[in-house]
Amino acid sequence: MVKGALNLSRLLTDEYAGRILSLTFSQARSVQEICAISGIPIAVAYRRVAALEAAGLLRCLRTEIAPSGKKCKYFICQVQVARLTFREGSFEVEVEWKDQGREELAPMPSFRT
Amino acid sequence: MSHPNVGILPQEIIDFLLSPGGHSLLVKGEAGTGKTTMALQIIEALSDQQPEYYLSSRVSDIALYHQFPWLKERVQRNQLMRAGMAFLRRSWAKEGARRELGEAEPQVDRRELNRLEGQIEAGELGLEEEEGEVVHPDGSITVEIGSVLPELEMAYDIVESNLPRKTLVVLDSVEALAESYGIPAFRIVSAVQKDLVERADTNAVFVMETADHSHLDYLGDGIVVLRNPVQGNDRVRTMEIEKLRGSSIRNWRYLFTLEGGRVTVMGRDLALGDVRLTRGDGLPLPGRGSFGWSELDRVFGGVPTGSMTLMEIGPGMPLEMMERLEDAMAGEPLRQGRGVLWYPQRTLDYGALAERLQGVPMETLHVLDPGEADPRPFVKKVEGEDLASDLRWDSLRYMLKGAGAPYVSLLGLDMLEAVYGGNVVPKLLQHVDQMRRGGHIVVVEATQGSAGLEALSHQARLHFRLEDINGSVMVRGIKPSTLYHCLDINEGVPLLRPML
Repeated sequence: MVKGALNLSRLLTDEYAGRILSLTFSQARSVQEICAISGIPIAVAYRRVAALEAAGLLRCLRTEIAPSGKKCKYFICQVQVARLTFREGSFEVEVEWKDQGREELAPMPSFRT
Repeated sequence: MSHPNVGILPQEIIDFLLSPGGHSLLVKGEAGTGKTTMALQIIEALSDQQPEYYLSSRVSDIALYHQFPWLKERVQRNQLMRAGMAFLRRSWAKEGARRELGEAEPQVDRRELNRLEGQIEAGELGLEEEEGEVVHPDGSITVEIGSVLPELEMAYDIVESNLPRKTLVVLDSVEALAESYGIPAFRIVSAVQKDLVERADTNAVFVMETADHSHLDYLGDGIVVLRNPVQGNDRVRTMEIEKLRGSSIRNWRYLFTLEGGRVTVMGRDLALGDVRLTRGDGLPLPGRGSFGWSELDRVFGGVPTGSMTLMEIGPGMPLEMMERLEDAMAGEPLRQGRGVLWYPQRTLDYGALAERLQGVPMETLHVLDPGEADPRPFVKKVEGEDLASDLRWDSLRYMLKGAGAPYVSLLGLDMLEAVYGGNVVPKLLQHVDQMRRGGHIVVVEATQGSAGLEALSHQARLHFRLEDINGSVMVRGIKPSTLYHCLDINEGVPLLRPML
């Protein structure tokens, strides 16, 4: 369930979040892999991944047990298409999910002068 | 590990790291102050006793590889070791035992590291976002599944594998590592301090990219701050030991040079009693004579003939140093049979003068003394009423008849002002002009309190200053300008080291 069009738009336009979604679009990856490929600092990556997962943009596909005994999650992008549009005076976010079709979210709060 | 130019670090820092137990040392300073060089020299100094783990963001610096030839190989080895460690962990999981690292159970308590990694994995920790790519600390990319902070984990692994031997862990810099992880620097320092230093008796050196006080200062057992402050028109590097917990600090502040790409601290309050300044074998440049000290000749090209040299003396200059310089400047021409006029800056002990001049012939020496007459042949009584009269050229020339040229006139300005009054410069310059015309040498010695210093500086072809900075004798050219040079004594030989 997507929560908050505004929060979603922020994530979609965030550079780090965008890189994470791109890297996980076709292949599930661990956070360590994402950091190694993209150069995103590990702590930043974990925070973004947590936010993306909470927003439904990422999903944990599987969990492996690392040689050290730690659990290692592999995430995959859930977004097929995302659009941020400005229509009739307000911003709207439109997401087409993988295997779930389109969903049009409620308009974001407008700003009146 | 050896290197032709090893540099010198303060002994109390080496002693601190060699003392029982683990110790952490913060090496702080702005960019270019020598922190990495110092950290690498610490590794060298302890290499026979403490295996090291060096993690740096500077590993592509070719100048460092030139100064520390072992560094490149170590960095490559660390990269291979990290990949190897990842492989070994997979092997341990399969085999159920540690084959490569011995049979002992892990002895490093990773409590703080685990807590740190847990917070990172939960998304609870991080800095404000930075734009752009972040380079892996040593330029390599190693993906070890399940490893959140692979470089730190490797440090722990290496410490564990070396036990019971003490390991030296060097993180250069803490800020760079923290930035690569996206976490506050103090979390790294805190984890290493608690897990490795306090619980596993490890030595840790944290290089920090600022000299400012921070809350990290409370975590470290020792703090050294490198600075490069302005001194006059130049800069002089300083190393301040702010803290060495549990150790005594002999000197809290050192001057140091980066000559030869190595940190070399300068000695303080050197014993100068037995030091003798001698001329080298090199010939002076055309138009120059010798100061009688090879180091001064090297720095300034010799003393110019047919002109005046002003030697300015700063406060705190050891008397022994002044006497050695005067001895050299008078002794050299006397040795060659050349005429020397000497109006001393201070009262001379005539009985000890022959010994001071080390037995050189004194027939051509003429010491001008306004005091009581003295029977010694080299002492010439002057009236002490009128400087122009006492330095009248025709009488001086008669005095110097038979002596070789160029003559040397060695004059103490403070003594002249005390005897003849504050405004001696105009009459003194009459003597200087006569000496110039004859192609002779005039050296005026003056403290910073003398009235005629500034006026004479304008007239001098060479003006240099000797001063005491932090207990070290420093020499610097004022006109022409040169770097500071610091007096050092190496195996009994006095040297002037450039303060680079």
